[in-house]
Amino acid sequence: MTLSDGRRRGHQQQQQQGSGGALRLALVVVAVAMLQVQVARADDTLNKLSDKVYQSIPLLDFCAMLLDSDGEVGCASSLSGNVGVLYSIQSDADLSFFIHSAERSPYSVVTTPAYFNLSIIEQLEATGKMNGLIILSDATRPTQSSHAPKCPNCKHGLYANTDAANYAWNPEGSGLTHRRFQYPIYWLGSTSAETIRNRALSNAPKSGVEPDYPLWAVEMNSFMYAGGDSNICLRRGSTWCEPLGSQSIWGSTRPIRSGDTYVLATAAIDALSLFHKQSFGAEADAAAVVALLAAADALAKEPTTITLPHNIMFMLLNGEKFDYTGSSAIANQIATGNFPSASKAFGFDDIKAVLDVEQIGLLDSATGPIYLHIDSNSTDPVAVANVASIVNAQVTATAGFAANIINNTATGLPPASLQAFLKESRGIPGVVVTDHGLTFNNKLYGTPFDDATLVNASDAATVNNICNVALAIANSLYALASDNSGSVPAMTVNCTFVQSLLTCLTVNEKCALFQQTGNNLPSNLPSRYVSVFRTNTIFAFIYALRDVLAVAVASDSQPSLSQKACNNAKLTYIAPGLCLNTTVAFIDALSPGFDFDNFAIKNQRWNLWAESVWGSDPSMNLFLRASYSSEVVIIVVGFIILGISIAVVWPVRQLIHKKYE
Amino acid sequence: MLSEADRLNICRKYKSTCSGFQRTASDRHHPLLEGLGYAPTCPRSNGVHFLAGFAALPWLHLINILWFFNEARRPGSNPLFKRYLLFSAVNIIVWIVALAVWIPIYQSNRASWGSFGDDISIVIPKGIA
Amino acid sequence: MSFMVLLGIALIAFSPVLVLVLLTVAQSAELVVLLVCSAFFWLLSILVTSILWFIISPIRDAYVWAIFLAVALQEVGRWATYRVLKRAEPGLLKVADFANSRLVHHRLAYVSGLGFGIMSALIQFNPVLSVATGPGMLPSPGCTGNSYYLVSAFTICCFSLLHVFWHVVFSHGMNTNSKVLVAIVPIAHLAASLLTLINESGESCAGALVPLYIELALFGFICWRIISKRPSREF
Repeated sequence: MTLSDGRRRGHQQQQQQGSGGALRLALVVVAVAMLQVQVARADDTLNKLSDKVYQSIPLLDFCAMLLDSDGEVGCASSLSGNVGVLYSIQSDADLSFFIHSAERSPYSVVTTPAYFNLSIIEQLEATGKMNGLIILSDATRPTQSSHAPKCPNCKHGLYANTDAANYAWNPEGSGLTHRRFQYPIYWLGSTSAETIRNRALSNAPKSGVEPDYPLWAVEMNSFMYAGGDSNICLRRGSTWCEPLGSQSIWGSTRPIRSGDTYVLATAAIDALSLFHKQSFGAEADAAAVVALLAAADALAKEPTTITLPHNIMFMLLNGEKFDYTGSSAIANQIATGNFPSASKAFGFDDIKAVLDVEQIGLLDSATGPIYLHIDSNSTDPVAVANVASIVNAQVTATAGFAANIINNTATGLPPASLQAFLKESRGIPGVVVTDHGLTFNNKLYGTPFDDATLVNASDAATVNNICNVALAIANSLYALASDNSGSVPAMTVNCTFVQSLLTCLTVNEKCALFQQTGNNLPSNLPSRYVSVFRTNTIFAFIYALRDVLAVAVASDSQPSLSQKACNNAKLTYIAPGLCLNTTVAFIDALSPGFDFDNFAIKNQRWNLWAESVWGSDPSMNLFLRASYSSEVVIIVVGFIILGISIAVVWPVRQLIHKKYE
Repeated sequence: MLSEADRLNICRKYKSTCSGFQRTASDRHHPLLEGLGYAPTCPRSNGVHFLAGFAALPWLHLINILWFFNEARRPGSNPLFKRYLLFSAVNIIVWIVALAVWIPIYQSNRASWGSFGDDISIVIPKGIA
Repeated sequence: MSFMVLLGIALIAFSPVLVLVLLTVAQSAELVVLLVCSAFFWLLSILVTSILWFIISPIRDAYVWAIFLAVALQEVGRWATYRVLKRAEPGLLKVADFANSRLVHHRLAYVSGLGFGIMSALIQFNPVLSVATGPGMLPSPGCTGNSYYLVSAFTICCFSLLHVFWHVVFSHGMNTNSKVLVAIVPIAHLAASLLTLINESGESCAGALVPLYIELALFGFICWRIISKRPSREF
């Protein structure tokens, strides 16, 4: 074919192409449009290849990173996730093998809560082989294992920098909740635990030798953005970390008047655990909240309460497990003359007594004893002793309780909200009411196991004890509010109320008591970790508790009024049929050193707690892991193939050029 | 005598070697091209690179050197030309030294500089102080 | 570490075709255009295959019928590429600087086949590459000790080169009106694709790979014979 022939033929083809050209153009346009549709992969089914390699394992909970003024606390993974071969530790032999002979590092250790204690953690960390920790929650629960520090909140408490700050109130405490882990820790529910347990057991060593690769491994991704300490990360803004805080609740038996004097009764409503959604705190404070609210109910039903010399104010404080966030906020407001409001504020001199109810759910017996702790270094020891004796007298006169006043310089007060008030004014006459002497009765303080099994709302004896404690509290408050003049009238505590409220707080939030006040919570085991401070959302159970307190301290109710009429009459509308004459309010539980509107630290006096922000929800993927050497083989083979290609193509190209062109 | 095409080629080749910074009209005359009968206007060349490089653009200095290096080594080139290249070379060495000193200092000490360290950073790494 | 695997399998699968492109195609602009065009034609054929596979749900899980469909449509695409190239050839040869070679038709066929090979390798290997960046490993169904990524890479390497050889044979067959040569290409393609089914669970990987490479060698030999033969007539 000569060049001219081709030109002529091409010319003819040009003409033909004119008519076919439009068709071709249409074809191309359609093809391009259709290419926007995802081309199906060359796989068997519509499942993605990644689903065959990676299986996503849902977690029940994970250990997050918190920061305070001293540094970081908690866990974080690396940015791309922590990969580790699964290794199960269910016995001491497993542990010993891991420490001495395990060679497939890095590992993700799978273990049970019984093995999650400080000494084992330290041994595992010392090996340098552990890259992640998984705890199977469906294993047997321990009986004595506290994750909280030995002296909770002591480092920045009332006795900071004294010997009392080292006293071990919680001798089983391992301090894990305040420890920095360099790897993620996950808490798995029963279905995930089954899967992981089986995979981990398939990796287990048989007759002293671990199986060959490929081995089952997981990638745990819980990267936390914040670092350094709370000052550094809060300075950088809310996209790095957010301060811990919530709302506290206060309610008084009679309306607030200027110049009034007060008797305070406080309890904490937040709980602490390494896993924030497993913070149940049944003994830590649920029992105390129940006792306090039952006492409020009993006192309000007594008509002479509102005529007493002092107003009785109940406080449900939030954030107490993090260096007394709520109580220090209120104490600071009292000190600056802003509590409960700027116009009707009262000062520390107007507080005639404080009754702080801490752990009271695990009495040694039906007759207690109940322990009353007082501060040995008060600036007004006479007033303190007076208050203590009044309470002592009332407690011993109630339900046959025995009582002990503990005034111990070496230990000071136990961890209690009263410490935050005393930090502002050391002369406040206060008493901390507990079921324990110089060491906690709660051996599971600060763990997910401080729950309904420990303080059982279905157990008549437990409920009865809490009921009696509530009565003792009510009697003591009456006596204190009346300056111990005259006798305390007989009051009754509603024990079914005690049982219902305890069930609501430790078993299921969806309960009749909350629903009666119009709070329809979902069916849920309540976890009461304080979480980060928000101005526009309040946890449902806090609303419910406020309503319960409102009903409890109400002096009067107008059930027939509608919401509008109720508000017009300057009463508080809770729910249909509950228009009450009651004095209840929320107050921010946020460290006084933090200015939330400007999102800045204004005062370093308080230890500021913050929670790190994280990107996507922590996740875990399960997959098979090949050995490092097999991966090296792959890349070496790749380069060999590259070399072979070049070595073959180059000479062949030269050959073809020479021979045929 | 050179052909039309050859002259065109030579002019193209040498047009880029206009030396230095044109301050006076006499600088526009290029002896070689004038010999060929051409008196083209020469664009400002490496002087621009030199001055612009001062605007915190050390790469321009580097390009200045690399692009005009061969022209500067030619024996007949303007001494001002060579001087600009020398200044560019000095400048880029200064930049390299300055960055080589600053970058390690910043990376090691940013965390300990507190809020000043945050203020001078555009991207702060997550997960660490 | 997973980046090592990614680089390794990418090199295994792509380095032959990559080297071929860089050393033999990249210098000539016309050949590059031809390469991309033929790659696009393969892409169109697999697009139609995918749509039909998606619509006809029964064949989604029946690999054999899906393979028949895919091979048939790819061969149709090959034929379409050949026809389009034949129409474009005069214009292409006018501007090309290799037009004077005796091997010009084979060269054009080779580049078309290379386009097919590259695009098929890319599309088939895409899911594997995107998963191989993670830390996980997938055992190959046929030989659970070896990584699926590795077996897949070797298979795809083989297929990409096979496409080159098939296209040369096919084009020569079409040019010389040799029905035998034209027919053996779809049959060989089908055979090669069905061979990959041997890599199922319980079977063997080598049982799939060895015959594939034997077929590659066979077709390489056939191409060499085609190229070294002096043309009996002009076409």
